[in-house]
Amino acid sequence: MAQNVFDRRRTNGPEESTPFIYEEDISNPVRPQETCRKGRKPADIRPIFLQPGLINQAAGSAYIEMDRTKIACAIYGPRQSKNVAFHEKGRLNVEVKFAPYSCLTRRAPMRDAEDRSVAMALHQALLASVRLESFPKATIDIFITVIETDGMEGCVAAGSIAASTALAHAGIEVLGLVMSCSAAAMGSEVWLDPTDEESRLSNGTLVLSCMPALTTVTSVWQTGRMAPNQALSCMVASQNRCDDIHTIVAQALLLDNSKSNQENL
Amino acid sequence: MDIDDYEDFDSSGSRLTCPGESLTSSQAYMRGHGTYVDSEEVIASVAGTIERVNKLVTVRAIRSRYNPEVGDLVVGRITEVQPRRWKVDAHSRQDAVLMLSSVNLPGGVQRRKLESDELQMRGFFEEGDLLVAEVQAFFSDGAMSLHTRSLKYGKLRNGQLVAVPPILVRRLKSHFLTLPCGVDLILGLNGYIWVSKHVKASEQEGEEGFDAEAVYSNVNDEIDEATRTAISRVTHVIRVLTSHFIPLTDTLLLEAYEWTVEQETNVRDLFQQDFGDALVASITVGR
Amino acid sequence: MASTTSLSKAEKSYIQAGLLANPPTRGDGRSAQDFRTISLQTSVAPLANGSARVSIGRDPHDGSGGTEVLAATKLEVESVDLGSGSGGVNGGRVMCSVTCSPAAYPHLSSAALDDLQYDLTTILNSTLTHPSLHPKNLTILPGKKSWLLNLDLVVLVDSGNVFDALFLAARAALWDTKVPRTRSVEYKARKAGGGGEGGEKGDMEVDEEVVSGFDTRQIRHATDFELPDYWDEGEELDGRDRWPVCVTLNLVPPAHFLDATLEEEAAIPLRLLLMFSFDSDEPHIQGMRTMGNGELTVPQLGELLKEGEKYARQIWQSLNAKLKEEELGRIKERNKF
Repeated sequence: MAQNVFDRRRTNGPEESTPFIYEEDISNPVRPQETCRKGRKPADIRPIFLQPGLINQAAGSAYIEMDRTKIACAIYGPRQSKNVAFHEKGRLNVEVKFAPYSCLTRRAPMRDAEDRSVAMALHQALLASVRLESFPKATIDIFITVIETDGMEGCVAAGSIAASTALAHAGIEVLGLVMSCSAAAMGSEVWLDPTDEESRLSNGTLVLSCMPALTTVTSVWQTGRMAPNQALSCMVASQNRCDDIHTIVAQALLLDNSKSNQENL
Repeated sequence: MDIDDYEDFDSSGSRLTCPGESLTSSQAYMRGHGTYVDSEEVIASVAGTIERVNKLVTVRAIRSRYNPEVGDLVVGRITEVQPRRWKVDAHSRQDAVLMLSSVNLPGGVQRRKLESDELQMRGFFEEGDLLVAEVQAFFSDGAMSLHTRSLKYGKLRNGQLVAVPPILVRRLKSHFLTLPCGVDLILGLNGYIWVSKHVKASEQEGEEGFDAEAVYSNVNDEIDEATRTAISRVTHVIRVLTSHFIPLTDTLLLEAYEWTVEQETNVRDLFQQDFGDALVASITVGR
Repeated sequence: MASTTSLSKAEKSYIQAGLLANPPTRGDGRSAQDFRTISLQTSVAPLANGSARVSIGRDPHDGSGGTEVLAATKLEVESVDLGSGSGGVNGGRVMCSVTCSPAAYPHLSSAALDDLQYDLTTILNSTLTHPSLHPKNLTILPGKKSWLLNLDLVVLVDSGNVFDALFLAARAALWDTKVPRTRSVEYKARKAGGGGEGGEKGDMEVDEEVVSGFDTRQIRHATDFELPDYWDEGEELDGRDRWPVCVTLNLVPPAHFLDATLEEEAAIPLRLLLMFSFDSDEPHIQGMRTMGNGELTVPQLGELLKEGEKYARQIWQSLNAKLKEEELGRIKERNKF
């Protein structure tokens, strides 16, 4: 934990911080024996709010809210790679930053391993979709700021949707939009878009990133204990849900496009 | 520890020494590579064998970086593309330099360099390419200057690279070997060996109508399974000989390859230690 | 993860064409499913609670080359109290970290080496520290003290297929781990004598008397623990059969191959890591990751899962046989005295 490190450049908060415990959480906890999901059906995902074009100075940007996951994504580029050897294809650079207030317990403002692991997952999800050969010697910088997070899987899923939207908003050539959906294996059921609590209680979780337009998968990340056919059914369920998410994202992009067209006229 | 004490020194075989050992205290001896002079004593600076030629004492290290000479054939990999030159990694102390004026340009060997060539250098060699070249000269800082101004030099394709310690590659009359199984070998003196499919001499381009498309192309020919197996077999033979620290010559490689073919084993059996030992034993029996 | 091996386009297409041919041929003559020779030893680090050393593809004659990984576990005592600032959790914790020796990656700068370490650590950590694999015997004093299991892996040499080696070494080291046996100890305050109960209580110190540790009949409020036998190695780690093995499938659709060398990894960037565990009748996936630039379809993934299960089962069985052999050897050594 980075809590014990004293950062001289900042006014440090208390070393220890414990989150508030809300009464509603005590009285209604999710129990592992419960087969019934609270508030939604197993195959339901939480409602998505997606707004492209939030950050003006970036080449492309998007803001996504999925209940308690809020992520802002800004894309700069393609711009010339500095201080790096010649590369024939373009490069994709993903940087993720968790705001200190994004999790229940305060995170230190410094970069740590968790930032990098989310960045790696997003890089893997987006890499196959971008037409890298269209910008040699250049790099695309994708900056993700996590304002609130509700579990790592949800973060990766929302982040890749936001990044894909921002890529399209920036006018960068992509083979297709990348959509992600996370799934948790609860006993014999598959619950899509689990909250942090639900994924902690599950046997295992899986995040699938795919391009629904091409029906191909760019990234799979599974942790926990699952039978192989259960993992497969998680993947199929996620992929089907990604088709729906794709419709939402396409709508949001078209709406944004038509709005800017109207303003230009 | 005086060399003069051993009268039949030259004929009795080489003597080993280690750094710091005094070789001779005589003023009459000149020091060569691998030694230094300290208050009238010639002292070894590397661990290796002592060689004495008349009044010159040198110590040759058992393992050292490749020491280039003019006229050496080397196999190298392009690391950088710079204005009018390429930097080549030749497994030596410094990267070698290949000048644009030292390569064959398409349209004939005698074609003059144009400005468009300078801007399209990656059309000839780019980062990561393997090439075979000859050492033309040295720069003042000791870096090699290479040239590929012959049709047998140039970009390498249709095969794979094996890296061995440079000291195991002997200076031979010709470093382009052809094995009967349809495999070509290029033994670079810097320790890089290129094993590839055999290209018939008649198929190579003539002096006229030098075809840049073909010579600088990155596209391999069709290679059938038998040739690929032969290439893997030769690679293994080289690795076995190298791990037993046996110097590589054309006759030795030929013998070793034929021995493995006679055994009619799968290539992957060459991984086994006893197989390698048996191979080496059969080779060295004749010596 | 960027490949550091530099290959020319001709070399890459040579490797790719060989793998797509029928039958597939590889640079060193292996078939697509052949592994290089794997060698494994346990208990190589005497100061660790468990350790293992794995090498894949080492040259048998001079011991050079190959991918080499060293894994060791070390148990530390942690406080579970929330106020004390330590990260202890009731039930113990498992922490995993991978270090890459700079000698293994001489071409990488230290920042790039750090990044590589982070990436390898993330994959191992997310798989091995999952609650489904958590060993049950890491508690010392419930609510007060527990064991922190540190699993540290070091990559000494990398010649390709480093993930399979890391997971093999991790499973072997955890199999080899012995958790020291502990016994709870209670401190009882001696009651003050008959007189002086009135006003002198304030001056009286309450003696802390350590009850003999041999009196284990009634430990009502255990406050500390001790090791009953200093020289006893301890008991096995609970659930040591659950730790998964990893098989990396390098994908060149429609084919795939195993145990890639560095050159093959540079030429074929797309791979699928599958972690399987065969401790019960049914196989379980303990982790799955795609890496590299490429696309797959879900049916392809289904096929690869089936193939991967077969390969992983073979690795599992050979590893178990070897671990049992190592254990018998150690017991014989110990019983010599």
